[in-house]
Amino acid sequence: MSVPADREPAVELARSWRGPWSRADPAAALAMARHIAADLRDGLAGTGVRAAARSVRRLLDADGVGLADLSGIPVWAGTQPAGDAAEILVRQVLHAETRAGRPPLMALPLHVQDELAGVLLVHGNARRALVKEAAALIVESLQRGRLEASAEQAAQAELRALRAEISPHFVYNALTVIASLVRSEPDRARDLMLDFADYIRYSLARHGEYTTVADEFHAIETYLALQRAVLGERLRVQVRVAPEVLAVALPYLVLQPLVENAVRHGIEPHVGPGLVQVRGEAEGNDCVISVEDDGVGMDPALAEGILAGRAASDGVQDGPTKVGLANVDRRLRTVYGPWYGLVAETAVGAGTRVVVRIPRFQPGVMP
Amino acid sequence: MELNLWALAGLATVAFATFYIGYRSSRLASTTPDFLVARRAVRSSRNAAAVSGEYLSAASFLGVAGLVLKDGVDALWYPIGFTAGYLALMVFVAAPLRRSGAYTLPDFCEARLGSRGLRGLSTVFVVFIGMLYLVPQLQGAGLTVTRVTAMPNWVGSALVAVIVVVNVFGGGMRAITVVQAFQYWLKLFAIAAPTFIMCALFIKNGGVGTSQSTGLTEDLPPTFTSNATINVTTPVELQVKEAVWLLAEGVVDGAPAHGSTFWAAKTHTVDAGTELQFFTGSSVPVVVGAPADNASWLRPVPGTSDMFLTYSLILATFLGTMGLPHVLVRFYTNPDGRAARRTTLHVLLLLSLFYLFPMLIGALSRLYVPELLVTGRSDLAVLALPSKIAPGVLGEVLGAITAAGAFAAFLSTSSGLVVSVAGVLSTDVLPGRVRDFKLGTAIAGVVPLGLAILLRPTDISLTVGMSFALAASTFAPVLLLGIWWRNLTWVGAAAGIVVGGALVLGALVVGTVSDYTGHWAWPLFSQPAIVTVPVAFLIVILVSKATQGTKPPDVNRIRLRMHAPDRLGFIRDRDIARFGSPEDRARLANGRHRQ
Amino acid sequence: MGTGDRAADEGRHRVKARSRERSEQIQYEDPPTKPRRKRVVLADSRAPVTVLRTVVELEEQTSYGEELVRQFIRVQLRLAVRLWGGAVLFLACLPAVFHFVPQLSEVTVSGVRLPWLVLGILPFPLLFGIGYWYNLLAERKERDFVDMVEK
Repeated sequence: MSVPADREPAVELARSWRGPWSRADPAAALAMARHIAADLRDGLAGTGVRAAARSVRRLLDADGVGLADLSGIPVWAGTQPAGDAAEILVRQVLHAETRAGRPPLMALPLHVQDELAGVLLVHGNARRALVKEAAALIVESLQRGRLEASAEQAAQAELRALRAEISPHFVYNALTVIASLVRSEPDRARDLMLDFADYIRYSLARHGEYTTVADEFHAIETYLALQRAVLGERLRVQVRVAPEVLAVALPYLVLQPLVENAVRHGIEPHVGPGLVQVRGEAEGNDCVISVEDDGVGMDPALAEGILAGRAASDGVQDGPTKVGLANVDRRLRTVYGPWYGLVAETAVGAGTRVVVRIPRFQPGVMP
Repeated sequence: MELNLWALAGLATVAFATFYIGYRSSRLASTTPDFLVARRAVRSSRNAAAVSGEYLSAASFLGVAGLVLKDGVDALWYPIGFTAGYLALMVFVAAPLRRSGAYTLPDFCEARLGSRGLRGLSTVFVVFIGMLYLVPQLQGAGLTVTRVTAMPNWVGSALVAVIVVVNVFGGGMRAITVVQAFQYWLKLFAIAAPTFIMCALFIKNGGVGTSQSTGLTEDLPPTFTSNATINVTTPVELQVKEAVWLLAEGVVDGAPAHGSTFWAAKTHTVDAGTELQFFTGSSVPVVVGAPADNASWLRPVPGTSDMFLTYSLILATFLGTMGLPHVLVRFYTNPDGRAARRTTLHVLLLLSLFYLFPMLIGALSRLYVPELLVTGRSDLAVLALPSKIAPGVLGEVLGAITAAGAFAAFLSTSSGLVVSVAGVLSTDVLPGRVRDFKLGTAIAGVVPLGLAILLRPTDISLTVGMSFALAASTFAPVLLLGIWWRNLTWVGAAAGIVVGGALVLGALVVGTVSDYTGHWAWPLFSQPAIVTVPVAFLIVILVSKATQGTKPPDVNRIRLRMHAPDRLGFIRDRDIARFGSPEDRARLANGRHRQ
Repeated sequence: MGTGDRAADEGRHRVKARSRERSEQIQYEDPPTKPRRKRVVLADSRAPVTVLRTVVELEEQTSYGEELVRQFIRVQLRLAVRLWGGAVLFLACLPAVFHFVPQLSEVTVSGVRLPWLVLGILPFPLLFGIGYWYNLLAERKERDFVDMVEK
């Protein structure tokens, strides 16, 4: 990456042209700061490091700027200092965790959350105060990236928590019904047992993050088959899905909590038979799935509270499902963006319809 | 042409049947009293019928026969290319594309190269290609409706546009596989049954041995089989090979003509609004640019420039099919890569079966409806032939069947295109991600309608050939190299799309301007693929090599996902190893009440 | 999310731990490549474990897995290019042949001119046949690959 000597005048010319512009225009400086933050999202070993170094160099108006992670190999933008001066400085900083060198070559340690994360190298006559600010800016960006990563981890932990939430009351009922059928209808009991195994497998298994609509519908079917055994004639079920959307990828356990919710809060408290309809269809580039019951329904304000996650604390009875609904809503928004939250249509005595809308393709979402 | 009630009934039947099947297929499922096994994947044969149903457009149904009538054996390259495009799709694209999980072309660009900018760029070209393909569909609809009801051209175009847009609004013509599969069988019937009957009549009348058909091999222009009156609606230039007497009423060769006229063997111009009357047995003048006599019609590739045009067409159609927006979307319905490949194989079979018939009709038309050559409206051959070959009720019924098939062709292809274009528009273009699918649908319907009415209708297949050239010069390099070449970068892909697209669009503009101002452009401008496709490939490769720094970091993972066999489970069930092989699970599941 | 990123992450952690210990011997001589994971095999390697391991290896992009995939893609591409190229070469020769050997156009087979037969009938069975053959071979190659991976 060394630049031949005869190119120096050109660099000088570029600097003198760039100089007044980069300092006088706060908008450009702010934009560059923003770019640095975005480029460093993946940390100092990410793909955006070179772009970030370039922006820092412009911001500082220095000859060259290098960013090194803990491996000690800097990524340079602009002219690199001759010889192995930089290498020695980096080694010093990594060793002592304090700044080293003086203009025209400085090296500053980058501490993220009190831990050494890398080194900033500045080549050229940049003002010290400015260099310090730049180092602070880089540290802030790195910190932000880490926070985002940990937020993602938290979301995954939440998903794992949701998987563990199989209602004990459902397990008990299902097993009791199966036990009662073992003598009278052994074949049916065996089928239900297999359904139960499928259901448990799907809910507890440690899969990747995403699955397909086909698999999710299969999980719903097993759940509904068990519930039909428990509730008997009271539960009628229609599941219908267009073949066009079977292959759509979506996060795990998005639909099952909705169906559980429809059965437990729509049909079970209801006197007399109830109908649960699950539909999946294509609409433009989106896949729309709706879960509808003609049960007791609920107060729209309460539904709003549930989606906002507020009802979780006071909902002592059947708390998990309500948490589950809010959890589904949040996960959908995290994966697809704020336009893709759950939509619930409900009123007391009018049944409930919950609609999930997901794009057929979203980068990164793969079963 | 006066009102043809049979044909009207045919059109109405098609529209009704389309509605009814869509309605019924959704009703059936939802009134099933009890539990319906929901996860039933579509069989690849039905999926293939749906792909073919959506693909067989006006260009295939009307255009191929028209071009065979006009250009003879060289026009056979259109059906060959339309079919061979699927071979390339199957061999290079189908399975990896399905495994990549992309739904539209912009999705693929984003999944493979991870660039939002490239996604935007490809969106623009998807919309371009979609609209360019829609225009001839709507113009063909205008032609058909004019033929059947004698209403002006724009009525038919508007009718189809409105039906499609309203259908998509109401969800009636959603991408339902059953409906599109039905459309294929309908079209096959609508062209095969009349062809069989007409061939039988032709053989009964003497077949190949009569003087008429041996005339096809002579160095003479085709002759009129009955007295013919022709209304010229757009100005044409006609080449006369044998001097002919005729009655003309209007403006011929720049001078007013009344009554008996003699045309010497040279090129004559006829203005719009002129009425020409020819007599039985006199030779047929042919529009400029088409082979004037039967011998050169029979013989392939008369000149060197024709040979280059043929190669250009081969390149455009062989590679263009994979870049058409409504084709790729259908592959998403396949459960996995292997099924996608099998579906494409079925499509090859279904298309091969279909294209036999328009070719036969085109050849028969040369004998029975040569007057279409005078007006240049050779696209009408499929509609006009039945009443000529079998006068009376039989001809009218057969004509009604072909008209209905043509109508089905416009409807299915247009809805497929409108849905794809509207989907892309609503996802990527409309401001603030309003995701307004209906607004997108309206735009995707209205803009091509405007173009269809404004632009002069040329041969349907030629315009369609242009959209193939555009697809082959923009998306084909990105798809092929994206799937098989690890060093593709988004900068290279973008450069290829821009350069290839700009070249084709430039040629399109030059060609159109030249059409209006006296045909001065080199014929290559009407089919530029032979230049633009290699250039686009070259640009993509060179620019990618120069910008290796922007290669996506996860290229290996994406390639693994695209190419790993489905059974390894990179796109489906990951936990075979943990929960037993698929065979085990199938064994466990046997005898269950739901299977 | 990606396992590749995870591998890089771990590599980074390792280096970081070293520097925090202030060990005197800092590994600057390390080549700047991504650290590769080591393969650890349990003593008892029964069949299902093997399945899992090779698939995981493919997924984690170890050099071995990467090479396997690259070879497989090359095999598939060669197959595709051969079959498709053969069909296209044959078809693409036709216009030139008819152009330079016009006598062929005069040949009549049972009342129909040769070009009409060659262009109107022949390409369609040819295209389908090539497609069928490719499908057969491609699926066989995929099966072979799966068998090799699952051993």
